Amino acid sequence: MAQIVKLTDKHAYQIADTFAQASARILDFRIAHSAALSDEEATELEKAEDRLDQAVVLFRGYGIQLQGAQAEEAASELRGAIDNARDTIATIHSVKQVISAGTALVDLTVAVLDRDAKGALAASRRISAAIKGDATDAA
Amino acid sequence: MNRLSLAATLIPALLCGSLLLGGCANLAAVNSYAGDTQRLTAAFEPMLAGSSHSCAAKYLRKKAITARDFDAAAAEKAAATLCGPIATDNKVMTELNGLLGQYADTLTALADEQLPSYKDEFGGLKDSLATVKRKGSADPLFDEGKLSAISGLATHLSRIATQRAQKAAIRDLLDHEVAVLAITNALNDYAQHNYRGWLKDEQRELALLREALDNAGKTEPLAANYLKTQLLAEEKQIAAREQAVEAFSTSIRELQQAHALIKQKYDQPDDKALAAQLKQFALAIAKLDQQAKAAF
Repeated sequence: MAQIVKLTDKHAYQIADTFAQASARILDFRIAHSAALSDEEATELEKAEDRLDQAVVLFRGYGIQLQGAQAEEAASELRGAIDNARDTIATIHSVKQVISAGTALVDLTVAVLDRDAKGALAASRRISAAIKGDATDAA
Repeated sequence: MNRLSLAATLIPALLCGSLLLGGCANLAAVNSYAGDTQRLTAAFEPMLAGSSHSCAAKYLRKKAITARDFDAAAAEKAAATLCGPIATDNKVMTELNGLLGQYADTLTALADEQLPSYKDEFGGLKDSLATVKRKGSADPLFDEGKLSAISGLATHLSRIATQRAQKAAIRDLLDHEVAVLAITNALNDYAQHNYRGWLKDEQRELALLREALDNAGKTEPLAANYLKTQLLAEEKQIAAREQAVEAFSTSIRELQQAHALIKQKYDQPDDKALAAQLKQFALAIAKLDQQAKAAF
């Protein structure tokens, strides 16, 4: 029964390096024997290098896929942690929005009691801005 | 005890005491760690495009110097076909690097000194309450003393509550050390085994191509010399990129050590070992920045 060999990312990168070295050896041969090789022979050797170069791209890409699969669990854990931390920041900002809205509400009440239409309008705009979290309008 | 030394003793104690529920967090240390982690992710970016570039440059260089029947347009097209899949494969690494960047950004946002500050919000409330008058009178409802007491207490209580949340969220993020190690190791392995692999391929072939130019120089010295000069410049560029990979790996090691220490000691404002490690990390990142500028 054939044994299943599990390839690691390091194996994939080593295989890619071996293909790259093989391609360079053929290139070396092609350069060293350039004068002796016919056009047809040189072209065949070049094609062999191209095929090996394709295998290099393939195995380096495979190495990345294996790395990605290994890191997926860690990546998913970190994504969750970042989301939780962002929720905390959002909660703190929403408390600040509530305080800003409360401040504008006091202003609105005072303006209404003083029959100050301009002040009431400005305060109600600030309440709306504070609820939306727009710091420029709320200021 | 004179008044000055009493103040020197009491002020930090009062500051920490006011944070009794939350304890004193070393926000400067968290900021330093997060900022340098962000710079590390920025230095990784060019390596991703660098792999595609290296693959295409190597192919075109080889064809231009050694092909019997060289066609520049066809070679460029073939290089794009050969090296095109690299950009797609690299997306996994782009995502992991981006995730580390988001992690650092979130830590920076949490370590903001102004996050638990309600000075602006309660300052506004104090001003508004000052305009409230007694019923049927022009006299203010709250005098200055009462207003200051109300806004002071509200600011203080909110600050304590927020600092607890802030500290707990930072602690939670730092606790994911194993995940940070896994992701930084993945980036390092990519730099060392994938990107560096491309650079080594280029270096190996450059030596062979120089030999080809030596042969060609006997019949076409001008073209051979011109290309040799080009190869020399490219060789220097590749050497600079290799050094950038080394500087990146050093930075990753310093980041991992900094993380282990900051996780243990981020609520100790004056820890010397943590300060020294963060300095080491910052120095490694400064060198990486410099190297990356020279290389890409």
